[in-house]
Amino acid sequence: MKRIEISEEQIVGGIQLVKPVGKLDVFTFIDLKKYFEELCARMPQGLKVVVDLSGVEYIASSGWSVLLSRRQAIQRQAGDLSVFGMNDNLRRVYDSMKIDRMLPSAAGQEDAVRLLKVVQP
Amino acid sequence: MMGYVFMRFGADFRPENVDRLREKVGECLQRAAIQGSTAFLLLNLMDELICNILEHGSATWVELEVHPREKDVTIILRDDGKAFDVGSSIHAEHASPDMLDPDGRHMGLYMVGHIADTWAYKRLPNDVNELDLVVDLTKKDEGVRP
Repeated sequence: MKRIEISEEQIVGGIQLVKPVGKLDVFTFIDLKKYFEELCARMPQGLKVVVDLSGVEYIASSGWSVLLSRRQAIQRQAGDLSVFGMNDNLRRVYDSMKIDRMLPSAAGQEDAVRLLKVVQP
Repeated sequence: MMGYVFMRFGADFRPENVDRLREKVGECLQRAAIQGSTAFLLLNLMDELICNILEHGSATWVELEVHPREKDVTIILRDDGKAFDVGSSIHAEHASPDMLDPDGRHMGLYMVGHIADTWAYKRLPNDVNELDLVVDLTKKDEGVRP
């Protein structure tokens, strides 16, 4: 099994649901970065993404960095990104890092969709 | 003060070795009676620092000491890599776009700065780096088991 597997599907409202499964660490963050670069190339404007982190057991700073920087890039193109499904351990790290304003998170998918903002380009 | 735990690792920056290191650090925290999400938080802290040493410091070994007390835990990391005052590079301010660099290194130091409450770096006479960190467990949700 690969260290990280990334799948996607389109849900209601044209929102992309992205689900990485595995470890998002110093060896795999580049896979997620490349995935998002390809996704943004396919859908350059108004991309709306919710990332399901329920299958992720570990996120190192490099993984958080990809999620934060991709949200910034997507927002610049009038889109948005939020995350959901963190387990208690990941939530503890997320809370300690105080990045909630830069990377909004929800417990479930529906709430994560509601967190997506309509951003003017 | 409770007993402390000491571990020494050979430096090898490959995924399987880093996974093994994470397991050992987890065992180290368990032996120090630190559990749950507090253990996970400290594991993140040590993982960031150890990976930083292995990836950028050209170290051949890393030593880890964990000193748990009732209200805080002191973590001491030593290595024989290049001199790098990581302590002065740790960010404890707000996250900013300039730390979202491609390798996430600055984000790692930002993470360390938000988990650790104090940090101090020394270059020891025998070309060894020593970083001492203290994490105040009273500010976190769970403490160490007495």
